[in-house]
Amino acid sequence: MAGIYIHIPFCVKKCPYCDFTSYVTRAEDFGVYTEAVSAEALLRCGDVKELEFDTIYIGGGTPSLFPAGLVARILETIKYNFNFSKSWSKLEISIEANPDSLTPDWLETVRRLGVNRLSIGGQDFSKKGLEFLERPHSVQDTIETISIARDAGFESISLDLMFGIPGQSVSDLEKTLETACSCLCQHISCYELTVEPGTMLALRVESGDVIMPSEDLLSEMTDLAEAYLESQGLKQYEISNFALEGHECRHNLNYWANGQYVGLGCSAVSYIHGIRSRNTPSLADYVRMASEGQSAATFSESLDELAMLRETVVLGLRTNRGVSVSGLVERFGMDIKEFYGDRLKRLVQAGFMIEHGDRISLSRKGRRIANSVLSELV
Amino acid sequence: MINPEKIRNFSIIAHIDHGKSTLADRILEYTGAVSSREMKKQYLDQMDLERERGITIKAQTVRIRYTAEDGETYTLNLIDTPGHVDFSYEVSRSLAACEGALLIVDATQGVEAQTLANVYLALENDLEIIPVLNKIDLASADPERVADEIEDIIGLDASEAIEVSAKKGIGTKEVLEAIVNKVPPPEGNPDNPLRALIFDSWFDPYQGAVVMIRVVDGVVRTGDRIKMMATGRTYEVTRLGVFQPEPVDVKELAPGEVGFMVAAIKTVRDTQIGDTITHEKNPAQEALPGFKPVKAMVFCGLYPVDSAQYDQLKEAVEKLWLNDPAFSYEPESSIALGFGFRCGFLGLLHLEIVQERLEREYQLKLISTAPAVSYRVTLTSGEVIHIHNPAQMPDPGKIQEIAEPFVEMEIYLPKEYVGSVMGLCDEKRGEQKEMKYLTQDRVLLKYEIPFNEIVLDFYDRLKSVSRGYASIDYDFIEHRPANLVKLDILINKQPVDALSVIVHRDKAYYRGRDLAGRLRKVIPRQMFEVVIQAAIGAKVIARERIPPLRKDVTAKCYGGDITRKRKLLEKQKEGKKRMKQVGNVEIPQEAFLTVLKA
Repeated sequence: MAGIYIHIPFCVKKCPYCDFTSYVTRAEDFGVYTEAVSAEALLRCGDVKELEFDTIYIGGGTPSLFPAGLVARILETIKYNFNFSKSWSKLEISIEANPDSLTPDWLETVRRLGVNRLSIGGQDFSKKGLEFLERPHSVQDTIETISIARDAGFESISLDLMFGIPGQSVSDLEKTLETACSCLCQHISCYELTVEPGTMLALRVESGDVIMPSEDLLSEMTDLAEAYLESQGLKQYEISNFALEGHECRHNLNYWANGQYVGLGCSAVSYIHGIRSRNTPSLADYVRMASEGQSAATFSESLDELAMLRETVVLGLRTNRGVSVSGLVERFGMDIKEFYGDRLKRLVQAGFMIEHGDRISLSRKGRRIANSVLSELV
Repeated sequence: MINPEKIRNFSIIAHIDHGKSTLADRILEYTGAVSSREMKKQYLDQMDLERERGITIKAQTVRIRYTAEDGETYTLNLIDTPGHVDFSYEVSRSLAACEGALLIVDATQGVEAQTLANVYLALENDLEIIPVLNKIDLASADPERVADEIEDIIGLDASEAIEVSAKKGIGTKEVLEAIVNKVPPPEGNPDNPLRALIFDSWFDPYQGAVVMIRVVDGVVRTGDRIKMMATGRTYEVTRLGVFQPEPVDVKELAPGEVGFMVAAIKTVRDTQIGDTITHEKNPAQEALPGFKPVKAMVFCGLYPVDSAQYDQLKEAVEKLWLNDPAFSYEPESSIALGFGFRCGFLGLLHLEIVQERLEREYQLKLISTAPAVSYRVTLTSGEVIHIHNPAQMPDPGKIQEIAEPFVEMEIYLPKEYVGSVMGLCDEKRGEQKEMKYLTQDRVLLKYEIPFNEIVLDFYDRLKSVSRGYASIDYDFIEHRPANLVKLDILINKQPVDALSVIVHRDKAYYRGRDLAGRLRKVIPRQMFEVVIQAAIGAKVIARERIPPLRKDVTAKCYGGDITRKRKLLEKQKEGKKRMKQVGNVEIPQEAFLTVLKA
C-alpha cells in the first residue's frame, strides 16, 4: 500500500481550533499554487518509480474552494507520472469539502475526474456548536450538501463530527449523532475537540474565557458516540473513525500501518524509504522552491530500526484490528512480545490490551486512555 | 615572616540579618582589598545559594592589610561566620582561629537569640568582643536602648560600642581601629614544633582537598612533609596561600597566620576539620583541642530520583562532607526509593541547604524523605536502640517505650506577640519553664519542647505568628518517654517506607488525614485507581482515592501528524520516568516533599 496526499492550504477563514497550515483565500494564488504542486509532482515521481500507489487524498485547508479545473490539472499530472496498482477508476481518490463552498457543478466535475470519496466537514448539527466553532455554514447546509453529493454520484461519503465542544451536553451530542446518521453517510470521523497549542482556542482556554469539558464528561460522550454509531452499522475501525463494511478509508489505514506516502504541497509530509520529510509551511517559500524545481522539504527524520518498530506499533494500535505479531516479525525481524516483554504482558493482564491469535489490539478501556498505554510502548 | 605583633585575627558575629556581610563588604572596600568596581554585594558569600538566600552558610576568610592611625601596617584576617542557629558548629570553628570578634547588633532591633548564642560561643573561645551597633542611619535606630540591652542581657560593657551604618559606610574606620587596638595579637612560638588547626576544607577537582589552617606554633613551608595528627597520614605540602580575597600563593605560614594549604590529599575523609597538622619529623607532642563533636539533630533519607545516579550521589555526598562535616551520612536502602543515604543535619535549614547544594553543585535530582529526629527505643527484651529512620521502628509488640528528644528553647520577642507564641508552643507540646521581661518591651520565653515538633514547621509558624519579630535558639536536653506511634502510608495497599513518620498518638489521626489528602493532590490520575491509606499498625485511620484516568487519547493522528504525536508520547514516557514507581503507581517527587510540610 502507498498513498499520495495533496495539501490545499486555503480557507475562507481560519477556524479557532485548527492548527493545520492554511491561508485565507486569495483567488490569484490558486493558479500559481497549482503549477507549483504540478512541478513538485514531476520532481518527486522519479524517487518512487518502483512504488505502486493505491490511494490519493486531497486535503486542506478547504479543497472545495479550489476551482475544479485546477483539481483536474493536478490529478492529471499525478495520473500520468506515478504508477498505480490498479486502474484509475478503482483507486480510492478522496477530497475534503466544506458545506458552505460546495456546488453541484463542482461536485459533478470532480466526480468525473475520478474522485470517488468525499469527506464533508460538518462538525456539528447544532447551531450553538457551529457558532462556537465559528463554522461558516448552517446545520441545513450540511444536510443539503450530503444530498447533493449523493446526487452527483458519490457512493462513499464521509462526515466529520466533533464532540466535547464547550457547552455541549450529552443529549446535544446524541441529537447531533441522530441527525448525522439520518443523512446516511458511509463513513463518520468522530473527533474529540482537541486544544492544539498556538491556536486561538488555546489562548482562550489559557485565559480562562473557555472551559473545556471534564474528563468524566468526555468519557461519557465517547461511550455514547461509539455505542450509537455501532448501532447504526458504522463499525469503529480506528480511535475516531467509523464506517460501513467496505467503506473504511484506505488512505488513512495506510498511515496507521506506517506505510509509505508522498505528500505534495505546502506543509505536506512524505514518508518514503524510511525517511519522513515535511515541506515548508510557508506558502511563498513553497511556491518559489517548487516552481524552481527544488525540493521544498525543510524537515526530515529517519528513525533507527527499533524506533521505527515502536512507531509502527504505536500507530497500528490506533486501529481496532491492532497489529499483527507475525507481520511485524516479517517487517522488522523482531517479535514484539519478546521486545516489550513484561511491559506488554502487564498491559494485557490489566485489561488495557487484548491478544487474539496473531493480533494485539487495544481494549475499549485501553482505547480511552490510549496515550497512557501507548506511551509505555513508544 | 610576619611579626605576630602586627597580626589581628577576628570574626564577625551577629544575629541573622543584622548586617554582618554588609560590614564585611565595607571593611574590604575601605582597606582596598576589593575595589568598589569589583565589589559584588556581599563579597564573602561566594556560593550562589548564599547570595540568593542572603545568608552566610560557609565561613570565608580574607587577609587584609591596614595601615592604622599609629602609622603601623597590620595584617588583619577576617574570618566570616554564618549567623543561623543551624550553623553554630561553623561559627565555633571560625572562632577557634581568632583572638577577637566584632559583635554586631542591629540598633533598630536589639539583642536576639542568636546574638546571645554567638556571644557565648565567643566567650567559650576566650575572644575579645567588640560591640558594634549597626543601622544607626535608620530613623527607628535606638542605639542607647540597644547598648543598655547589651549590658543588661549579655553583661558586656557597651560604653565603647561603635555606632556604624554598614550600608552607608559610617564608622568603618573606627571599627578597624578598634580591631587593631583591642584584639590581642596572636601568641605562638615559631621555634616550637608545628601545630596548625584545620578549620575548614573543601574539594577542588584539580588540587584535591584544600584546607584552611590557622598556624599556632612553628612554621609550615611548601615542600614540608606534614602529618595529620588524628589520622597519622602524611603528605607533602605543594601549595600555601592566602585569600586577599583572591587566592595569592605564599612560601610559608608562621604563627598567627591564616591561609590555605594544598597537599595532594585525594581521599576526602583524610582531612578532618578540627584536626591538627604537624611535621612528619619533629612532630608536636600534643594536638590542639579541636572542636566538640557535633551531634546531628535532624535525619532524613536522600535518594536519587534516577536510581542510576546512586554512584554520583555517593561521590557528591563524600565531597560535600569534606566541606561541611557537620552533616553525617550512612548508606541505607528503601523499598520504595532504592539505594540512598540516611543523613543527619544540625537543623532543618541545614538539611535544605545540603540538599540544594548537592543538587546544584553536583547536578543531581534528589528525593528526600520526611525529616525525623533520633528516637531512643527500649525493647521488651530490655535492649535500647536509637532509631533515625521511622521505617526502622520495630513492631509495636516489641516496644516497651519510645523516648523522643527534647530541647530547651529560648524565644526572644516583643511583648505583643507573647500570647500567640505561647499558643503555638502549647500546640507543639511545649512546657513553659520561664517567662522574663528583659526590658519593658522585650520578653524571653523558655520552653522545653519535643524536637520533633520543631523539625516540622515551627520556624514558619513562629515567623507568621510573630510577624518575624521572634527569634529562637535551642539546645538538646534529653530523651523523654512519650506516647508515640509510627504512621504508615500505604499506596494501593503497599506501605511506602519513605513516607512513614513518627507522631504523637494524639495527633496521629489529624496528621494521617492531612497527609493522605495532600498526597491525593500531588499524585496525578493514572491508568489504575490509586488508593492512599494512612495507618497505625494494621489500623487504617485515613483513606483517599484517586480515580483512574478516564480519557487520555489523541483524537487525530494522520500522515502529517505522526512525528509530532510520537514526540508527545515520548514526552509522556519521559515524564513517567522522572517519577518513582511504587508497585504500579507512579509517584512524583513532590509527593515526598509534601510530608516535609506539616
